[in-house]
Amino acid sequence: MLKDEYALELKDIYKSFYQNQVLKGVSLNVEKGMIMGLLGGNGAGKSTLMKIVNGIYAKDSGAIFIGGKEIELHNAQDAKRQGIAMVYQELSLVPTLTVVQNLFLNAEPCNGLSIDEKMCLKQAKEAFEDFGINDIDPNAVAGDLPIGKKQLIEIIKAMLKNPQVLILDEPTASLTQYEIGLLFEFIRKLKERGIAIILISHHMKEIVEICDRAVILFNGTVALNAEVKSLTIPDMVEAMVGREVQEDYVKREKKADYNAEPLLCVKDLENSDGKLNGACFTIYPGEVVGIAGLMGSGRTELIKCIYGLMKPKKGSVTLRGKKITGQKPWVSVDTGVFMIPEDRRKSGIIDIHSVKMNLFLSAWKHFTKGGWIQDKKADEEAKKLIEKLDIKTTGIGQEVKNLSGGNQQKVVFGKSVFLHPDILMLDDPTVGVDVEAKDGICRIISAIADTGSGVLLVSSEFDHLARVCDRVLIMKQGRMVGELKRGKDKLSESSLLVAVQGA
Amino acid sequence: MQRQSFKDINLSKFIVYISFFIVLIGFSILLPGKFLTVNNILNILRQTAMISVAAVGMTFAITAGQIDLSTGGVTAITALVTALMLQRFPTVIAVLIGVGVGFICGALNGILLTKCRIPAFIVTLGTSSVYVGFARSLTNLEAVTITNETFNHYFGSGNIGFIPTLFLWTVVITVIGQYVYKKTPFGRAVLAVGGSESAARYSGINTDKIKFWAMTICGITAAFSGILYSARMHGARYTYGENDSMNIIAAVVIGGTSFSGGKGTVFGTLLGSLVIGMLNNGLLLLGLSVNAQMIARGIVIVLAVSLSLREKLSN
Repeated sequence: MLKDEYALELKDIYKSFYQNQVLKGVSLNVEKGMIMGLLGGNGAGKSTLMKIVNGIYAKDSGAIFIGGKEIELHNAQDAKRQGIAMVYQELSLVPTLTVVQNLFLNAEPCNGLSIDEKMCLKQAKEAFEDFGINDIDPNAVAGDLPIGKKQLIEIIKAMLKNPQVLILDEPTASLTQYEIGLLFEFIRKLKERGIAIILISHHMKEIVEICDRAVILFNGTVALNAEVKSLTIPDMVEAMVGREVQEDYVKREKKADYNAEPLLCVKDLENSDGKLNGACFTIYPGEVVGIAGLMGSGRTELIKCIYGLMKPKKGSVTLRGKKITGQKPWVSVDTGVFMIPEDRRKSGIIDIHSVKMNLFLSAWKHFTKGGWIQDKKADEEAKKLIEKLDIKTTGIGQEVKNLSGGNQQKVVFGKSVFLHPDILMLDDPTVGVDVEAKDGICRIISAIADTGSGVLLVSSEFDHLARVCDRVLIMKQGRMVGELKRGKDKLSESSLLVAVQGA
Repeated sequence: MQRQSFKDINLSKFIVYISFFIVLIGFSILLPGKFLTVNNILNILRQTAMISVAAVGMTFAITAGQIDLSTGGVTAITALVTALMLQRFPTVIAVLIGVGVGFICGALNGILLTKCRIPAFIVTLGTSSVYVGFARSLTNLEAVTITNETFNHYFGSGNIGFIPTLFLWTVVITVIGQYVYKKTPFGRAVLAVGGSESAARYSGINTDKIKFWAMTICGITAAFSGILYSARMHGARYTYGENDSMNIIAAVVIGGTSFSGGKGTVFGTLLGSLVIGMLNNGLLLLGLSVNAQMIARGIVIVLAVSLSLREKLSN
């Protein structure tokens, strides 16, 4: 065997979905005993590439080599047989089964017809010993374990098949700092055994800490492939963002009124699961305030605590000088605080209902006369909203499930436009919507702020934050750790990325 | 896309009419000169009133994504309590007390459902047994006779013109139900909670309150069904409503209300209950034994319900 033979080599991989070219000739290679960090923004092609390596998608052209030998992958089983293992972000452990049962699920060593429980336990114990894990009881029920241990079990499960290449998809996303430390220690052990590891992560600091090499995908091509030693975070940000687009922030008719009394004051907000750790900020009338933070920074919890879907443990929320800490969502709606949730399909719309029913989900009582709903009035108002928000639909009676993602999101916005709240909070509103709808959403947000409302915008798409926000707060581990203000600081996708990654 | 949704709406609305006419025409052919007569039709309307009325409340419960299996027990307790109250109080007060019993039973279901986070199926399976047991012990299995003729006339066996009062009550309750369902913020919230509880919660709807009231309304209409039973029979027994749960739920689903919640109409439920009523009446007129009736009824209900479900699953 040649010394420089790669564990995994990808050559010139192309892949398109219909008209959409997702991968445009990606080549990379991983040596044995090397940890490669894979980065890239949304839509850069990371997950498509990994699904090709894992046999889930078929490549259009290009070649995959394992240990120097070209292979063809038709399904996930093929990939497993060739020694490729992947651990997905959503853990696949069955919470009601024990650790041992989970480890051997669907691959139980058998003794005739029955499962050889003793053998299972013995092999599990051997594996744990082998990997130096002594604080997990193999007979514990998986659901009772903390998430960090579940993550380790998931990896051990993958390692039982003796893979040569191990792909970890954002394994740190929901772990605490301490758990991340343990996980990295474990990954280093695997590396010592000569396993080639690909680590997908959004955290550049983690890549710098543990990886040997960093590969950054941008727009379906490899934008950067270098040794981590020679890299800085700004280098990586530059590769990830591509050439910086000119600042194209949405023109506003009015400006935020910083001389007025603040609309919303949040002080030292903490919740019981520790995801919020003393979050503090204010919003002024007509201001669009962004929250930039990675997953797990507490950004969703912040909104839920203000709206009342989650109970704050400490701290206060004040609206126009009045304490509203911990009020219920239906009280929030009446007092002028509204939110648009993250998961549109599950929590934003009711897909079996019509556009009209969805638009006024929170507002029916505004259409009543003597207790009865005046449907004519609602129909007119619905038509106005459809026109105002430019919702592409066949009419107010069309079921929302038949609209495109972007138009569904506009319907969700419609709910709040009609209510005209003092404070509108948006949790990642541009996920999964097309470019045109994204523009529309930008305009709607600006228009809402122009009416004097305050907008709190959480987004994982930093270019979107840079386009509409007057001010962006950097959030990490449940509190604000920085602020970029339009006019004072440079507010762009890369400046936000540097701030978030560096914080 | 537009065409697709157009087709969906029409089909699901037609299913109830299709079942209705199949049953109507089927029995008219099988029972010439017996089934489709004015007398028999009035008879069907009388026999079906108790199911129709209880099914109005059940439409709210099922639309909210819940279910109530305890209606039979509520019906029995209410019939007995109303009959006992009529021995001391005037009609109006006795009826109000009867409705109050339904309110309490339904509210108890609602509280267990929302405060203890027990699924409606389990809660009402349990309370069903409690309510039936309570009804049996109320008079120690004795029947209670009602001699109040005003009550018997206006809530049971009487006619106004040639129209049975039982049918008038059915219409009144259905129309009120339909208006509350279609024309109030509460009705829209019930649809929202059944359509997506998560979306309803994020929209600022007090989902627990809505579920509580949906269950309470279901208790109230089940109680009213008990009042009608006792007035029709001029007395009350613990057996009233005993086997009605299946018929009531079937009426709602045949009527076009989505079993998974979020969609439906109260008028559809009325038609659905008439399908069940015709079935009960026609099978009896065919001269089938009670055993054979039960078998035939079960089969037809499963067929009718599967018809209305299949269309929905195909989306």
